[in-house]
Amino acid sequence: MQEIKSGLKMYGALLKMTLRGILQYRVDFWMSLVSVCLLNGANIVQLSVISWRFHALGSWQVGDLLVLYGLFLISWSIFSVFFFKLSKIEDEIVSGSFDAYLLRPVRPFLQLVGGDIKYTGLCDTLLGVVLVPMGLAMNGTHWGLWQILWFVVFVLSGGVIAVCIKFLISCATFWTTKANALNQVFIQIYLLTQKYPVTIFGPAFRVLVTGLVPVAYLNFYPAVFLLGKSDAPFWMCTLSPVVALVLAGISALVWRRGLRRYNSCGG
Amino acid sequence: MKIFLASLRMEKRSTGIYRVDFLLKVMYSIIAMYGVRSLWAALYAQDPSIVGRPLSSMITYAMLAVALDIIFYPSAMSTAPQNYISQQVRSGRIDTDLLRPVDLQRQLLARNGSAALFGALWLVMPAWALGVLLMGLELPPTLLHGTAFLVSGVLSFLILFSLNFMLGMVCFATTEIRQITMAYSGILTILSGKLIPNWLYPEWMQAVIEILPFRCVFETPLNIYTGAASRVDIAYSLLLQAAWAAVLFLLGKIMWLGVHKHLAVQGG
Repeated sequence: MQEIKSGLKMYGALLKMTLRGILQYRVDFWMSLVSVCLLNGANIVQLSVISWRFHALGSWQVGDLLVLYGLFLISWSIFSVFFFKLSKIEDEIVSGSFDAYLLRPVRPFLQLVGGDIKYTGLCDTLLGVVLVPMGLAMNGTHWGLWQILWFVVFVLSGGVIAVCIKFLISCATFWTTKANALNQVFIQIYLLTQKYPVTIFGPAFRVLVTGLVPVAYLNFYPAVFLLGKSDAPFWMCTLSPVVALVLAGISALVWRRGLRRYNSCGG
Repeated sequence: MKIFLASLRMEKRSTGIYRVDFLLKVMYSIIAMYGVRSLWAALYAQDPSIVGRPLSSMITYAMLAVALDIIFYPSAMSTAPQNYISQQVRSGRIDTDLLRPVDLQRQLLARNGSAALFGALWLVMPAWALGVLLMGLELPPTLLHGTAFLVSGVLSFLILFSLNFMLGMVCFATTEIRQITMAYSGILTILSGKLIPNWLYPEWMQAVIEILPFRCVFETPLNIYTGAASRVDIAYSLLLQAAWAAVLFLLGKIMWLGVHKHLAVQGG
């Protein structure tokens, strides 16, 4: 308990330092907010054109698709705002700055996480928080307290899953130093699940994004459950927190192994 | 031309080194191709009349766009002018580029052009071939369409190069363009016809896209490849592309001259 408390305190101190650094560059701050919105804009334009022309994608109405995309954005932004640095282990190791983490008397994991806060991710959160109610309103669905509670559970589990997947890919650096390439493949996969219901990509892809890289638990399964779709059995959707816990366990194990294995690149 | 050949030789030596990269790039374009194929199949199953083309033609369009994206996406190549310039400006090594006896714009064109040619041969071609063999990507209807597609593809590259080059010029003023590049990628994605062909947009948007150069990058060559363009259309679109390529190249040159003067004042 004592350890957790001091860890949190340390995290707070590191974040404060990082934030001060970021606020030095105000123009950059505003520019990046605008850019992120424009980049998301491309997805939204695509969704709106599809929905305007086709009205739906299979059994998924426009409102459903907005909820699907919004859920992804919110969960994903938990990773991108607070844990972004975890996906940069390769850079840290290659540049040699990872060694410094090991020398300091604070856990390397905390130092990594506290070393960066990506405020541009907040734009995703914001957009997601707007899109989900908008989608619901379009469908004419109302959520009771029960659904809202599930929504929170799903978003938090989704956040943990996103962080863990990115972290595990990044940890591949300890063994292969090719984590960035692996990450590129992962990006191609989640670009598909982010906007479209997994069902349209066929059973093989569905097994991939459920079992192997469970990105479908970021938005697809939660959306199926919360919107009452028939694309997957409900019990499978409720596994989301379990998947998150299992992944977190695996991540902790891999991180320990990786640290033990780590040899500095030297130089 | 001589510079281009020299860059080509350099590029040839460096591509051999990154085998793993090659495999991965082809692999993730296959994933993306599979993705757009499924998407259009699902949309088509709903209402074939809206797409306005046979499914096989639409799938060909979308999958080829993904394959071309391997070399056309703004952050895909480190030799793309905006990426190269921003890297050199940030590290302060841009002065060595200025010392060379060849004008910066032509230097970058040779460098990026040769990298794109290699990318086209080693990355786009395999992705395309796999698409044809495994995923129902069609061949162009006639030899004329095929040849015109290649010419159009080269012009697309030139247009994209000039747009990227102008973005690179902005880097001299701001020293940081990562954010602007993101916004630019978004705009390019929407307006080039890469994700959604122009004809599916609402009319007012079509009118706007019509007068902008972005659609020449993806939509024009893809329409030629899929046979949606008639002979007259082909001639017209190639001319239009050539005109855009020339105008944008010139604009880039003017911007560069302006920047260069400014840069000389800053000096040492």
